[in-house]
Amino acid sequence: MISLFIDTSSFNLLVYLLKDDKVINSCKLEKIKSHSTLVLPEIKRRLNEANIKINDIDNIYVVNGPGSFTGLRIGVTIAKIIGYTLNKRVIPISSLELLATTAFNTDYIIPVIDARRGYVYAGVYDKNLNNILKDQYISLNDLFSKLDDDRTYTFVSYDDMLNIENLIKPNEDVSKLINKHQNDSQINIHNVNPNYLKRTEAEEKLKNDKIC
Amino acid sequence: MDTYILGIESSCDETSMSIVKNGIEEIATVVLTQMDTHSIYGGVVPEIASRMHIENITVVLDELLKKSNMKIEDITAIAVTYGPGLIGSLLVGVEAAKTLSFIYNKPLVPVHHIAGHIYANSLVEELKFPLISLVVSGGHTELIYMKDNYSFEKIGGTLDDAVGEAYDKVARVLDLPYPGGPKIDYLASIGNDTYELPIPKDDNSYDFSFSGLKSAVINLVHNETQRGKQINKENLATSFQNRVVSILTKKTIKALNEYNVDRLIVAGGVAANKGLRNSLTKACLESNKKISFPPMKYCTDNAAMIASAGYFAYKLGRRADLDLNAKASDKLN
Repeated sequence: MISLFIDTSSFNLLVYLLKDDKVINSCKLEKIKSHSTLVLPEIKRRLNEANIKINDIDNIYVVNGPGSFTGLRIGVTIAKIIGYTLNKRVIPISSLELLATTAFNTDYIIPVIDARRGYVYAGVYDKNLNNILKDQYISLNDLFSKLDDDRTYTFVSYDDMLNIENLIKPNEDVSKLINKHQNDSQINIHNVNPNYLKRTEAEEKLKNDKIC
Repeated sequence: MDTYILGIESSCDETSMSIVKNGIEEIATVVLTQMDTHSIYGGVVPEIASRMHIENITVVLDELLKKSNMKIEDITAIAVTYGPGLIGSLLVGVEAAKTLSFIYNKPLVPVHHIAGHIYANSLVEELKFPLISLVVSGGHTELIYMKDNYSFEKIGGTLDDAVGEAYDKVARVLDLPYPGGPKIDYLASIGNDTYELPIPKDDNSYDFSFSGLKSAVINLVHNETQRGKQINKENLATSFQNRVVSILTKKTIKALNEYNVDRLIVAGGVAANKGLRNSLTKACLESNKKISFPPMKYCTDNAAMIASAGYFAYKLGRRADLDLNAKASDKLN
C-alpha cells in the first residue's frame, strides 16, 4: 500500500511517501513563501527519488484544515485532481490532529494554530489521537475555561503563543496518522474540501445583519 | 494532426473548463457561475469565490469529460489562466492545471486572461492581422494593437476605473441589483438623454478615465435626492451610457484610422453591451472598417477562450513548468 501525504496548511510544506506505515521518502520545507511554486515540484521530486509513479499510489492523505485558507486550497486541489483522475482514495486529515502526533508526556495534548485577534484553532487529543474536545475556532480564554484542572496538558504549536505555558514545537509523526486512518471509509471525491472552521467575513457580516 | 487544448479558467467567479480543437473549434465547455451567490453581497467576495472554485473544480472536470466524450489522454496540452484576477481563485485553476499536466505528462501553457478575451473571437472566425482590439470588462478598458498572433501592443487604457466597474458603481447608486451593467444597458435602451454629464477624457490621447463621470452621476443622484426630486433612472442610464459609448467609439475609430488598421475586434464582458455594439458597428460601417464581436456566450468569462488563446500560445512554444504561480496582475505580452 503506497501513500502520498501532503500538508500545505501552514507556512511549512510536508510531502511524504509511505509504504504501509513506513516513510520511504519525505521533505519538510520550513517557512516557505509560496506553496504554489513548490508543492508539485516537491511531489514530483519525492516520487522520482523513490522511483514510484504517480499511478502506483493507492491513497492520498491531505491535510484539509484548519489553517491558511490559500495554503489549504493548494494541497486539497492537487489531491482532488489526482484522486478524481486516477481514481485514488483521498483521505482528509485535520491539521490539528497532525500536530497532535507530536510526542508528549501529559494526559492530553492541545494543538493550537493562531487565528489572530485572541482567537485560535484548537482541539484536545489523547495519546491515541482521539479528538476529546473537537477541533474549533475559539478564543484562547474560552479554550482555557474548557480545560479540566485535574488533568495535565501539553500545548503544541508552530506559532509563538506568548501567553501559553507548557508550549512545545511540533514534531509530526505521519506514520502514526496513517496507522489510525488507513481504514477510513472512502469519501466522494467532489466532497473532499477544506475544513476552514471559520466562515468568511462577508458571511459573518451578513448573518449578523440579519439578526439585527 | 489535430491539436486539442484543455482550457481552465477560474480568475473571478466562474469555474470553467473547455476542450477546443485547433484553436477554433469548440468541442465542449462547462461554465459554473457563482453569480447568484455573489449577488447577495452586491459584488464578488474573493474568499467566497475561492471556496466555491475548489468545491466545483472536479465537478466541472467530470462534466466536461462526459460532455466531450474525451479522455485527458486525448488532449495535446493544458492551458490555464494564470492572471490577472483574484489570486485565491486563480490558484485553484492553476494548481488543477499543473496537476493534470504532471499526471498525464502534457505541456502546460500559461494564458493571460485578456488574451483569452481577444481570442474568443477566433472561435467564430480566424483572426486576421493587423487588428485593433477594444477590451472592455469589469477589470479592463484597453485598446490593443496586434500586428500578428500573440503580439500585443497596448496603445491606450483606463487611468482609473475600468468601464465595467463604473457601470457597477453607477448601478449601485441607482439601486439596481448586481451585476449592474446589463440592467443599465436595458434602461438606457428605453430612456432619453436628458441629464447633463461630461464626456470623460475627451482629448487626443488613447487613454480613458471613467471615475469623473461615475462621480458626476453619484453627485447628481445625491443632489436631486436632497432636493426631494425623483431621479428618472431610464433617462440617467441613457445619459450615462451615451457618454461612455461615445468616448469609447471615438477613440477606437481614431486608433483604427491612425494605425491604418481595417479590423476591430471587441472583447470582454462589456462587449455584451448593446449600446456599445450598436455604436461601434455604425461607426465602423461609416469608416469602412470590419468589426467582430464574440457571441454573447464568449463575452463573459469562459474556458473556451482560454483554450483558444492557449492553442496559439502552444504553437508559438510558450510553456510553463510545475512551479507556475498565479498572478493578480501581469502585463499582457
